[in-house]
Amino acid sequence: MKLRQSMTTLHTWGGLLPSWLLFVVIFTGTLACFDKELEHWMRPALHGSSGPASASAQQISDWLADNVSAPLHAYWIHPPTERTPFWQLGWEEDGSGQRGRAVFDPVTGAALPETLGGDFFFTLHYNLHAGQIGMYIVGLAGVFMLAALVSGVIIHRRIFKDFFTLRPRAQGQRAWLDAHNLFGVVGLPFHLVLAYTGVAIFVAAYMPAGGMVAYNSDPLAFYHEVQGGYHRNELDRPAGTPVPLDQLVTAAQQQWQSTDTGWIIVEHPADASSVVSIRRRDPSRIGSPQDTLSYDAFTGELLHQQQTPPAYRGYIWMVGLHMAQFGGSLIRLLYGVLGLAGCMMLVAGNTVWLRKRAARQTPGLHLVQALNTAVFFGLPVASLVLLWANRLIPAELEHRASVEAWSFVLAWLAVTLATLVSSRQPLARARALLGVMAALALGLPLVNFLTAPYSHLLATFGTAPELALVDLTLLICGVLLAVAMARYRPRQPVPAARKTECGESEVTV
Amino acid sequence: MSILAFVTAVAAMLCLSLAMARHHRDLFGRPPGRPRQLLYRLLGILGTALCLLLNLRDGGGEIGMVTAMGQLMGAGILVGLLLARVATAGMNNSRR
Repeated sequence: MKLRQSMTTLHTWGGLLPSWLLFVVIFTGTLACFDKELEHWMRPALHGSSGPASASAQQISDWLADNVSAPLHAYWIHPPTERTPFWQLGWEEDGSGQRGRAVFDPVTGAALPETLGGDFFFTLHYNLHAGQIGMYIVGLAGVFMLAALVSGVIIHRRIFKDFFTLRPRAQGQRAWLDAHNLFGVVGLPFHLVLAYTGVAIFVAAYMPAGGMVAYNSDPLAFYHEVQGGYHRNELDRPAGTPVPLDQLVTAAQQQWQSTDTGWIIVEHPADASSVVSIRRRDPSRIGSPQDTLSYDAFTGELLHQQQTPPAYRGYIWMVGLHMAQFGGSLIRLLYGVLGLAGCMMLVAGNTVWLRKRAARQTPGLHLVQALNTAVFFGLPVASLVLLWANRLIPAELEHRASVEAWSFVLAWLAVTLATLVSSRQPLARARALLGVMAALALGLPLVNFLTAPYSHLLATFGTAPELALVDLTLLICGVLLAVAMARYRPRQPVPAARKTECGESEVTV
Repeated sequence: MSILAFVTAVAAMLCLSLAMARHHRDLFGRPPGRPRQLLYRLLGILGTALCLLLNLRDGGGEIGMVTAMGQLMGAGILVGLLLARVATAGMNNSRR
């Protein structure tokens, strides 16, 4: 078998089989570029609040002491920033390892109602909300994507000649192949870099053997040496009186000559060995500076200043390049557009596979069709339903975030069931789902208007552009989806003489 | 300045596409002659370099390079979609 033939087989099957998983990873990764903006949008209680930010790190720490009785392994606090104008708190319980999260109003210091926030999409992106197993699955999908991209370049005979070519009126699979090539080839550097860095970020978790051997099966020792970080083992002695966190934050800011404070991490706060680590935040660079100061929690003595080894700085640069938290909203917008191009590449690629085999009625055709609909339509519909749920579920409801998660899951299940029920009418099904997505996207700003007096487009247009842009994006997407639905009609059957060349004459996503 | 850099990227991609016979024919009804093809290629390369320089000046070497690459890729997709639109409109007109 020649190289190009073998690469064609690899590209076809190595691209198709993980494509639905890759769509989930790329789509949620695209949304995760705007996770902080979405998080802000999903917290309408913040939008009406005004006044000077008066809450402090110590106030947040006191809330934790008053509301969580279990002994803590560690907790971490992040002060408000331009993109996240609220205090964030997370904690991990000792023994059980159970984690919690809360967010606070920067003016009053009051805890805000629960929501999944933009973090939901970020976690779905990198581990499918399935912990380490999920991380491995996503990593495997990333490796498949790299293989599909490289083999795609090898098999594409006219990669430069057809660089800008898109012929939407072409018959059969040609139009979809053009779309697959356009979104794949023009965005190739982005797809390659993001797939590679996505896999490389967790390389120590995917291949832990070397580190485990070199560090006597102690992964913490490995990470601390690699990062140039600081850790003090627990002394199992009762804690003393802690220095107020705000005092340590001020000391750190004086040391840096900067007020850009990132995460404040308090390790084993109930033990005499407790350490407070304060990280500097610098979104103006691709790799965050990793400039952490560690203080004794009870004396305030500076114990350690992180000196990051060059190799770790290189690693952090790659992490930063993948996460797109640098360079402002222009970078996130570009990542968003190119992420959507990646989604379109997958949709078009799968449609090419279908149309090539439609005339032959290849086994598995209906399965691929059903999976396409369940994933390519199901995930966007479920994401929109999640945003609807965020506005419709009462703020005071207990376990509000879980109800939001269930709304997401049930919406996706509903689309999957509808796919199974209407398996004989793929065109009508796709058209109906385009209509559902358009209605959900266009209806959301209206629901926002009716339920959140300080959050809707009219209230935020001049004052909070980051919130207004979420509503505007929904409106634009809604209009585009409605137009797509209106134009989405089966073409006239192709005459028999031409059908062999063109394959199936209708779109079968 | 980012807008200027993006406009430059779109212009560069448009020039590079017009150096190709198919797209030139879609827009002007005939393929480009050899001198014009070389001119389009030259303008495309210069536009790409200018987009890169503008981004490097605004964002520095590190972020400017990433922004320029993103803008060039985004511009390439935009030009591909615009050319498809023009070609489709041309087909509709010729049918009438």
